[in-house]
Amino acid sequence: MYSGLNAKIKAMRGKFLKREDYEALCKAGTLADFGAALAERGAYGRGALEGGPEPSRHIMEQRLAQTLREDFSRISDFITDLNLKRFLEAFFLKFEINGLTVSLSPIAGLTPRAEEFLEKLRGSRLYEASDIMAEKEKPFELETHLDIYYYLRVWRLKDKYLRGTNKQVAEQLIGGEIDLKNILWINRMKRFYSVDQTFVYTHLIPIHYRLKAADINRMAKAGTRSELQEESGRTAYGKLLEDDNLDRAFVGAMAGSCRAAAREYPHSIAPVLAYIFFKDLEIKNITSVLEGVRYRLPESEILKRCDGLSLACGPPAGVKGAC
Amino acid sequence: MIEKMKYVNIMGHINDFDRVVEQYIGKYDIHLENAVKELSDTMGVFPFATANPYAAIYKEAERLHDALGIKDGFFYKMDKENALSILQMASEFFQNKDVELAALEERRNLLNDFALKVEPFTGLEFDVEALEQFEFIKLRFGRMPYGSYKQFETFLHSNPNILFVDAKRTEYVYGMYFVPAESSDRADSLLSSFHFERIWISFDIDGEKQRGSFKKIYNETLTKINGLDAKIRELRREGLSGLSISNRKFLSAFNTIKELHACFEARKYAAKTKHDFYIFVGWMTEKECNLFQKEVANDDLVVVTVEDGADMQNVRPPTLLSNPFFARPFEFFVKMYGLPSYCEMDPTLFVALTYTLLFGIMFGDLGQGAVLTLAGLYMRKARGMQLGSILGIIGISSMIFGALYGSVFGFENILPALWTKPTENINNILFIAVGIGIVFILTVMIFNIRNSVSQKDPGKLLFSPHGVAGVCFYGSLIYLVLMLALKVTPALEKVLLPVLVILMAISIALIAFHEPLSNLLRGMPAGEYSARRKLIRTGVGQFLLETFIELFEVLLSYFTNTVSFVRVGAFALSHAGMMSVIMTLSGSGSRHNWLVIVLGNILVIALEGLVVGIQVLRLEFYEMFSRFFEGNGRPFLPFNR
Repeated sequence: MYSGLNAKIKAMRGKFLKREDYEALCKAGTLADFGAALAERGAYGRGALEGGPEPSRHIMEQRLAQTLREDFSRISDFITDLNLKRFLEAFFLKFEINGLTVSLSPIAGLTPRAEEFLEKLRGSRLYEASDIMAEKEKPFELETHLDIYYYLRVWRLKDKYLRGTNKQVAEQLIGGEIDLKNILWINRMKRFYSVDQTFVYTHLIPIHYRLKAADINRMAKAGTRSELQEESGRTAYGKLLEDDNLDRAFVGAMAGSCRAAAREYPHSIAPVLAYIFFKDLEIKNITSVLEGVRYRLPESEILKRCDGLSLACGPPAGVKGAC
Repeated sequence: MIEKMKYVNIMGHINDFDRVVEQYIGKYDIHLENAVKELSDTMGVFPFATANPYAAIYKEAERLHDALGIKDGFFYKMDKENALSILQMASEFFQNKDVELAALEERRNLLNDFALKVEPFTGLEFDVEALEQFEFIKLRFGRMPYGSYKQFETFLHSNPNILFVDAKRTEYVYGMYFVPAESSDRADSLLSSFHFERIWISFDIDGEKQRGSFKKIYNETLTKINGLDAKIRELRREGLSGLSISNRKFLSAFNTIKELHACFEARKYAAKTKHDFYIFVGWMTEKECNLFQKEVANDDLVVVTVEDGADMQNVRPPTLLSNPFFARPFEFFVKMYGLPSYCEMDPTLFVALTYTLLFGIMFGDLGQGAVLTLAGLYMRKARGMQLGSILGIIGISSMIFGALYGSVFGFENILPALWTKPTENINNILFIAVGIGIVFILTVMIFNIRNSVSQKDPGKLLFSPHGVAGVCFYGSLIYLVLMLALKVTPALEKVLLPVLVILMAISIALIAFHEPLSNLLRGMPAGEYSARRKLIRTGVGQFLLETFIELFEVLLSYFTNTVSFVRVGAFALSHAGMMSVIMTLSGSGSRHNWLVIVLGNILVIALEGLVVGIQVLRLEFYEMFSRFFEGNGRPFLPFNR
């Protein structure tokens, strides 16, 4: 099964945008030009972005996001193992929640209404999940809760549906992601806000992979910034977090582990998970470029703002990175 | 036949009302009319405005009767006071029982809630008394979402001053925590930020202290609940036996009150006068009325006047059909079209005869007819379906014609044909069919003439296409056609031919102008000026156009209705044809495939039986009923049913 799957993924990976492609996209003067330029290039050519005469940025972003689901189902068609499919469905829930919660983040002056949002979810599994939570009315709490719900679920279903290498790979990638997110959370709270200690705890993802409860407690109790940095450094993820921009460090660490897992375990779901990660990254990159084009920033400025670009395409020197 | 009706007035003093209702109205079949409405042009007549005193107890008794599921059976008559007291007693008994049940159910629900609360903690091996003896430690029961519990676990790692004992995990984690009394406020707010919901359990139920471990308390509660459930079930099941009233006694009381209630309802129909007299107005069949009059003759307190139904000017009598046993099932078909009105002719007997005859001709098979008869008997006896009787009768007709055709289950060669084989005399069969049709059509025209006489409608009698003019025209036409077709030239021809032609011409003219002519006749007795002006409702041009089109339609319908009867012969042929197909399919020679024959017969009986049944009904309704039958009567509904 995996050879066919890998061939398919390899073919799809071939359509990832190169640095030159991004540069070309940056040169687009208008959104229509941007859409046309993107349509010329590989994976987005299927009319996905050819809106009307005056495409709106939001619609284009929505369509970009949809391509992730399309790619996912295309890969899913190559998987014959039903349990694997079930697990991947559960894994993909993350991106669906992301898509949903975009509407919860405040946009210029528009206060998002959590109740309204929940009402739209009524009847779905996510609604039931939100039901056992207090403080539904705060968008931020709701978003955190849905996140926690996702991780608990995927962590449970991984044990239910996966065996052997697959289970190991999933544990490694998802567990790593959870740990990194927790470290990121504690650091953000400690560095930028002074919040109650319980607030830190009630927003952690309640799963420990290689980050132990003791590590978390030490970080949570750290008094100064240097102490915190020291404690973070002492965890299993210390090396990965040397970058001062933690968000960038997080994406970098994730990209690294995805790439490594796909290389080390080609006969597993690792390439699938890696492909989805990089595809998501690419969509984020394109969205950043799209924003830059919309606000008429110069090319160099746009490229500078694209954090994930070097992760997706390797360093600018021209050395091609492989995922 | 339609039963002769008598219009009956029953009068008497109001004190005597209930006796009369019980003694006469409840006993004899009488169709009561609303007396106040009937006598609306009489002064000083009022409706009874008293509410039914039995309404409440009857409703309650009916509810009990249904709730107890008492089967209807033999019951005896009982006096009013006795019946009322029995029902009163039963009603009170069950009301008390409802109160008792409600109390038991309340306690059961209380225990249920308690059990539900305790259940998650049954895994904990604490004694409740021991927990209650803490002085400096506080404890809380509750639950939190699984995710929050995991977060809390991480937190506890560095905060050892709270002791959390988890009991049961679902999507929530149930458990209890212990904290020092002085820091309990802080711990409570901390736990609540981990979404801990407190569950308040009182181990004091109705002043009864629960002791022992959670498990023991829970099990004891369950036992109590089961005991209560059993008690509730038993109370519910226990019917009248708890009151030492037998089912029959209750049933008798119930029926007594039911009758009294119904008798009182008779006041709805009665009227009363200023001088405290009551009046009943209604219809009785002649036979019933004679019996009634005989009985009432000795009764000084009741005055009865009887008038003949047909003499009544402003009220239409209701219709009650009465037919010989073999025709009675066909009332079903007649009522499907409409109940005949009182002064109309009841077509049931005619339908019974023609339907049976036509079905036999169209579906003649000795064996299949027998099957239909048996099926009809089964439907009638086992299922009580009216259609069963009809099926039984037409099955016999089918058997008779089967013998005449020499056909058994599609085998044409076993029996000799007593009359003829349809397939060998195709033309004869078709001509005979049309001949039967002509006879039927002429017959129903005569029925129409009879109906018009009793309806006192001279226009319809003389000029309608189905009246005297119609008979003259259609009869002459048929006679002419027959003479031409058979090429017989009777000696009378020279005289008869012109006479017939003139007769036809006159008839046609009468039919064409039937509307103004009828209006003229109707207007004649009054002799008013206005009647002449209303001879033609519309303008002359429009009238002529309408008349022409109508006449064309009438002539055409004579032709089509006659030809329509060809189907009777055609179906006789098609039946033989279908069976021969089945015979061919079952194999030639002496070796038949019996399965094909059986299945084929079943198919033909079901399919053709249905089609023929419908076709004959169509002939009845469309070709015949439309000529003479209106069917807007109202049914005779006796009060005592």
